[in-house]
Amino acid sequence: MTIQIVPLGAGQDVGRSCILVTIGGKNIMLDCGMHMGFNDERRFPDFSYISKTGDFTEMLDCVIISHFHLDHCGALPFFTEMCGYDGNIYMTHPTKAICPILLEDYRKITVDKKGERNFFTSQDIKNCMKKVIAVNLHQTIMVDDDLEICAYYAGHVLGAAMFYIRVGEESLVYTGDYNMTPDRHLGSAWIDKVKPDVLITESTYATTIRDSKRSRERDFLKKVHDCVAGGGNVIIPVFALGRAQELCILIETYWERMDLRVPIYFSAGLTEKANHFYRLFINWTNEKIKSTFVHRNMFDFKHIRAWDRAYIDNPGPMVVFATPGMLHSGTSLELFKKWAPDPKNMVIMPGFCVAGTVGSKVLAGEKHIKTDSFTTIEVNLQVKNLSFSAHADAKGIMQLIRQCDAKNVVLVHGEKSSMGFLKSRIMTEFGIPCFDPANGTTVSI
Amino acid sequence: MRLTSLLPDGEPNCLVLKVRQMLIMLDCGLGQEQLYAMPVREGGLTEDHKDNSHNATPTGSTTDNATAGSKRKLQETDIRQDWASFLKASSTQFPTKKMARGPNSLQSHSSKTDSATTGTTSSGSTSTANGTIQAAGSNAPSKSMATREYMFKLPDFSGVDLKAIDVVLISNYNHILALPYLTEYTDFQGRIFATEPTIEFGRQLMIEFVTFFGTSVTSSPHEIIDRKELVARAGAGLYPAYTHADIKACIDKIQPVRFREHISLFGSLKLTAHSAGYCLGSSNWLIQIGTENIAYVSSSSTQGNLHPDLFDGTLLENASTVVATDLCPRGSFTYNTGVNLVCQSIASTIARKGNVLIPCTITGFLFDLLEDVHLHLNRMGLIGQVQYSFISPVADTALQYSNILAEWMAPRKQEMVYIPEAPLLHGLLLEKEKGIAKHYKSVHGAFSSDLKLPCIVFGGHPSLRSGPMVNLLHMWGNKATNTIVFIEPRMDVVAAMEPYENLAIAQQAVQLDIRLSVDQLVEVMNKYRHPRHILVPMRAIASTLPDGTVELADAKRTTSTSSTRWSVYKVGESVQLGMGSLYESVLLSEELAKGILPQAFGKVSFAPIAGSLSIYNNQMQLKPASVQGRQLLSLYTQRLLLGVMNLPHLLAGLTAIGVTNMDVSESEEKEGKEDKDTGVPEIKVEFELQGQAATIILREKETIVKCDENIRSLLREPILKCFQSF
Repeated sequence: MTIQIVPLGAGQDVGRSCILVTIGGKNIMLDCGMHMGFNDERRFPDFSYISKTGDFTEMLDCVIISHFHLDHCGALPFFTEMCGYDGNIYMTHPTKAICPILLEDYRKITVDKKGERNFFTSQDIKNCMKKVIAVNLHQTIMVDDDLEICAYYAGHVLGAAMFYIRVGEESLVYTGDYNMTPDRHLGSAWIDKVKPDVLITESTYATTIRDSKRSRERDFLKKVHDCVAGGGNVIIPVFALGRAQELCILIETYWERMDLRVPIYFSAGLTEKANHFYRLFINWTNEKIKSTFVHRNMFDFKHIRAWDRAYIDNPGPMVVFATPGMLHSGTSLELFKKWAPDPKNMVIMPGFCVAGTVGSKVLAGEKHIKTDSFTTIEVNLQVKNLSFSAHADAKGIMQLIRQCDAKNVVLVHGEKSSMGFLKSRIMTEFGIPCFDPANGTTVSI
Repeated sequence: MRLTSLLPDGEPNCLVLKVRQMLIMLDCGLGQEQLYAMPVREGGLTEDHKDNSHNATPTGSTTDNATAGSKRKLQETDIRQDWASFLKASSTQFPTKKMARGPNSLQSHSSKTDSATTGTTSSGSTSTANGTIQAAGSNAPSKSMATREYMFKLPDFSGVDLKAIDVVLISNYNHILALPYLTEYTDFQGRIFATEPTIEFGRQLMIEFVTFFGTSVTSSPHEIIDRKELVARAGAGLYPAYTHADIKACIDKIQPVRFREHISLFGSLKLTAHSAGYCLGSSNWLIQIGTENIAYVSSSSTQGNLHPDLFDGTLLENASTVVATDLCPRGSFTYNTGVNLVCQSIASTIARKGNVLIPCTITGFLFDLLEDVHLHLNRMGLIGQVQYSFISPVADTALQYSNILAEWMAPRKQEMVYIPEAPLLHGLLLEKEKGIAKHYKSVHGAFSSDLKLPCIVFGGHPSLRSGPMVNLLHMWGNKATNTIVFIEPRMDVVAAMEPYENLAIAQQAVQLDIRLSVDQLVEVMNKYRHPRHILVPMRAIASTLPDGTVELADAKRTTSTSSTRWSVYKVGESVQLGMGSLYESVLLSEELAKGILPQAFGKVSFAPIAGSLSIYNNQMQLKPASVQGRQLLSLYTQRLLLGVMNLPHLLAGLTAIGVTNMDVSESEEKEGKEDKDTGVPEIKVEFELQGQAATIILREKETIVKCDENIRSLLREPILKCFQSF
């Protein structure tokens, strides 16, 4: 028997993760993401590959969503409500709770601000979420008599999971995005020694071995402190949930220690709600937060207040966490436009930006950025890039391959050039076959 | 398989199950019965006032026992004898132990800090408490020295080789209290499994237990309990409570699991926890050994409107044997019938400006009750005046922790976190701005200053022998406008109230029981494919039938049928069940499977398989034989026979070879005997051939030929004629 793997998205690329797997006669879709660098039909995976006639429900045995980031779940309402998939969808509880909020947020920006038609509606999101079956970690779920799936902690964001899939004697692990080093609010990924026939792993940081956590944090805080001390404003584009909470905990404790009075704001009305989610899903955070939450909840911030648009003209230094994280729309773009011309100000780009977004242009060092045909932004402010994104680095990926004892490795969710490097390293170090298929190409194992 | 119960029916569970080579302990509960024979004490003891208290409290206990109801007397005298003998022994040890404590300063220090946290110095109420009890009691000064300690009777470990136990499975927090004794004071080395909420609530209950009943500063259990002695004569004596250090060490040894997580041990044992619907994280266990499936059904509830995840019956689908425990006794209040009474009782007390005391642990269905009470008070327009107080050393943790367990709740509650909202109502009530509900570690300190009357107080120990309820009963007990409401099942209200007989406080006993009743158990069993054996505790049965099976005490008086056999287990007696399993599951390799060519014989098809059987980690796999193996196999290749040995064919065949005088006798199945040789129905054919006696015995699964070697070859033909060969 062979296992076939076809990436519909995220093959030698980052964004719109969607991988089709055939194992033991079962067809499974792993993630159903959208690409945020595009505004046309390229933002969704090419579902016509699965079926030309649209009978997706018959073709697929189940859809599994690894975590709530839009590049992993963004196309789900489109797939279920507009393409008509009606089968089983599995995700963890926190993902089920948070992903509709992000979807709704994204929908508002695309439809209301850009005035796009032919996009899913709020009701579509709700209907879609009703079809989702929430799973617990380590709980073995029998999708049907032969197909079983089991989720493991992935540590990338709240509720992120890796999935072990087994049909008969054939098995596969899909990692989604994961992190092998515990951070301030999440634990590290962990999996049993399940000896899968195939491990499909992300490879965002395939070539980097990041310097130690502590020095990165010190670096980050120093930059922020220096900037506000010089009277500048700091804008930190983030996604409302995930990295933002870690950075908030970090800044909050630093402000407390240094006794700083510079205001910190968090844009998007999501803050309160987001923090409430973290309080309710405290079981999914790390041991330290879990053991202390009764006395002091880490997600009750003292220094961080909700952002109001009126504050934009306030004088004097401030730190603003603004959504969305890739500067492609919303508050973060608005603030960036306003503050970009002044060299005193600073933008800190945490994590990764999809090609084509304003964020990626900023990172590329462009000095004049066209947002649309009428507006061009002068970029004079300081640009700092901090890889705070909780992905596993090369060392972490190798560690996971060893931990689960995989027989074959397939790399997805990464840049083509760096994948090649990691691929050769895996083959020499473990002596096992490794693949990095492009979108639409099939790997048979 | 062999099952032994170590605690009497009605107490928490503690059973030992031996299946094949595995020794599995099911739950590890601590008997509660002896609690009522104990003195009343407040919160904990401190160095300062132990002198007055140890004079006063034990005397109280003596009176309690003297006035105890007749139905309990027998048991109590037993315990008291044990107790007295233990005291005699231990009081002689005390001085030497004290002397020896010098070098052991670390230990004594830790026990001191324990007592400092647990025994917050009580104020004026202490003297009142002692006064009241002393007035009612007589003197027993000889025992005062050592009765400062509460003593507990452990499950009867005496007949169990604790070192040989492979696995302990815990089903919910009610059945975990004796675990630290097992892990910290015996040579137990096995592994322990429980769901995450069971571990956390179990830990909280242990802490509460130690705070209420823990030892005073004069001794720590490590000094009194000699490890070897405990193993040697466990069950015979009474032991003081363990310490906070023991709890931590014990909890660290438990491995957390989730529902439907497959655990595989030693390659041959598979364990899976299934939701029991009784409380957060409550589980029933499916134990699979080889092809044998045993379902352990502990405290379960099929009540659909409560907060815990629903009862998951799938573990019964493949179970061949079911062990049912912790059933609800006849005549208990179900949640639905009782909850209105509780609400009414609370509402009428609040309406007359009285206070309500509800002695209970802060877990389980209390979270549902709270919602119903709150709703009722709201409807009655009483909500503005009332304050809820939760008093327990773990109140804060229990209330907060329960609200982050949405994944372990019923779907209705799970939905709430998607809003997001706290799934249990107390999350909302506890919000600081609202101030409707508050929690305290003990009655001392903030509780009295915050107090707004009327007030509903939850907490304390249901036995009323220690904890905040003792103080509150002395404070509010003599007013008839106040009410004490008993909601916890598994407790004896009469015995609990004995020391408080003369108090004017109104009493209401509505012991809500959400556990499965016998009727419900039968109903659940009927829903799934019938298991071969169902084992039930004593209280579930009406009578024992002569053949050893039982008649159940349910409405239909269910008895064993040919497919399902009900039997009973009792404390101290082990039940033996023949597993009758002749098969092992073997994995057939793909290569070998491809070569199978079935041949049809009537309606069925058969195919011979030859290969080499490999056993690795207790998992068997049949693989194509190696070249060498194939040669060996060919030596053993025989004709394969198909068919059933039947008598007419055999007799005809025997006649054909010249046998004349055949004596055929049949024996019936003998019930109730496990002895292999006599229990099976058989047909015996006795005859003479060539002057020598021979016997052929036909059984369902075997045929035995008894004869001399020289005529054996002659008998071969007639027997083979009964079969088709291929």
